[in-house]
Amino acid sequence: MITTAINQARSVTRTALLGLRQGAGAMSLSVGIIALSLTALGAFALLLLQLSRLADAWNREMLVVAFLDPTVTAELAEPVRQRARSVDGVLDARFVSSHGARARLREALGERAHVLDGMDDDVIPAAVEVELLPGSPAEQSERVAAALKGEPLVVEVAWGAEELGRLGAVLGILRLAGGLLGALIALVTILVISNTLKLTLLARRDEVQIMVLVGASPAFVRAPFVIEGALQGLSGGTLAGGCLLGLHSVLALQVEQALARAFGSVSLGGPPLGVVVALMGLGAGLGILGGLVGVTRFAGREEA
Amino acid sequence: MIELYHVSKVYERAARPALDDVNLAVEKGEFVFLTGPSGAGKTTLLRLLFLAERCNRGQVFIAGKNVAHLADSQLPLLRRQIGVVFQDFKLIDTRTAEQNVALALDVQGLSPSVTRQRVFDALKRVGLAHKRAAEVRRLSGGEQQRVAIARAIVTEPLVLLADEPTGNLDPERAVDIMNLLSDINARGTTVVVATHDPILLTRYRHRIIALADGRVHSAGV
Repeated sequence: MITTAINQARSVTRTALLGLRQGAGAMSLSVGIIALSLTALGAFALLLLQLSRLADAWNREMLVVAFLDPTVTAELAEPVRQRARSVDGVLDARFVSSHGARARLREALGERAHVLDGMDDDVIPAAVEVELLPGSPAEQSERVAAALKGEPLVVEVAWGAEELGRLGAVLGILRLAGGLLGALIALVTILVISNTLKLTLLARRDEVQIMVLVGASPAFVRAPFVIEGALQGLSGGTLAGGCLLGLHSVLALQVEQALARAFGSVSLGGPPLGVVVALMGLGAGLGILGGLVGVTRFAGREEA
Repeated sequence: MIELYHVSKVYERAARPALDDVNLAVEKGEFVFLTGPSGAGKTTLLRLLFLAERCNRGQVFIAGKNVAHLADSQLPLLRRQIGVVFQDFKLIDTRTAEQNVALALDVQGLSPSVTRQRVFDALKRVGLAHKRAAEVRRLSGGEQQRVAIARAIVTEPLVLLADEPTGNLDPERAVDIMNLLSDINARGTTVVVATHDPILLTRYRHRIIALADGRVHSAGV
């Protein structure tokens, strides 16, 4: 039984490869269209992935900063610090003096630190910096900020909610657009593959009839075409993965610089191998689906 | 081996039945000619026998199985016991003779070594072992028909059905093919040949079933 199935699988695969060779022209066109579609989807997914990572990183690193009068000392600021620590979801709260903040800024400015020369020592206010627990939602920052705004020594509270909110909104739109684009590309891929296979089936109608005549089961007749669909999809996905790796190597630096201008320091990381593997899997999966749709539609016509 | 009881077949929008209350029997190991003018119902009858059609009424028994009520899933298994040869050969012309014949065994999932041996034996029986690697489109009509016969007999079927097997061949090649079919019958396979060629009917002394207007008109040698 198992040997029979293995032998049949071997025959079916051989038939599929013969079919691919015979219909090389149409198949190449189909693979090209799939590759283009999946490259667009992959590039979009990659952009979305990077922006999501950026948002997560911001969320993780997000501080709520309560600015105090420059003359406030650590002792005077202690009630503010304690108040911050008493709010749920706060990991730590620390006092940064005006002097300390200036020193930190000087260090951050590096070679350009001279811009601070001549300024008063207390030009940068003292502050209590509140660090939230990792993965805290954006609303948590608002709750901490609200609690600190009521403290008498607090002049102003900043927590970057606006930027995060804007990024969140952009991400929401991009995710929706990505979902629509993904659905559209999936549909296009399935249609391209199923129509290519339908043409192949029409061209090889006699062959199908002969297979039925000599006692082939419906599964045996259909399997080569589903395999052809899977191979088309996999080839398209692999090509798309290659294109994406190429685009990444050429454009990563420019994209990093553009994102850095908008959002600060950003790293796109190494080659997107995960996305490439996902595109190959997606291509093969859509190919199988396209193959099944193609042979089912063809069978429907034949029976009619 | 083959029994038909009150079999009728009506195609949609047809003015009259293609087969009308047909009764006939073909014994195991028999060689039978099915004859009659165009439109008599020969091809329809063969299509019922190789399970390409189902009758509207009546019973069709092949090797003891009532195919009129056979489930679709059982059809491929029974088809493997029926060899069919057509006037237009029905070969895959981009494949070799060997690949065409092997197809009948591939669907059964036989091992490559068994398939290779049986394909070689079948091609040898039809005198084409030396052309097994040739693409069938490069073979003559007679050779192509012999490849089709090799494909039909490679599964060692119980019944061999041939629809105008010599229709596309010159008289000399037609004799070759008929001799081959007779040889296959002599080895025990039941053979049914549909033809309207009077020369074949007179030259080979086998039972003749004559159809006219979808009915059995006469039967005899």
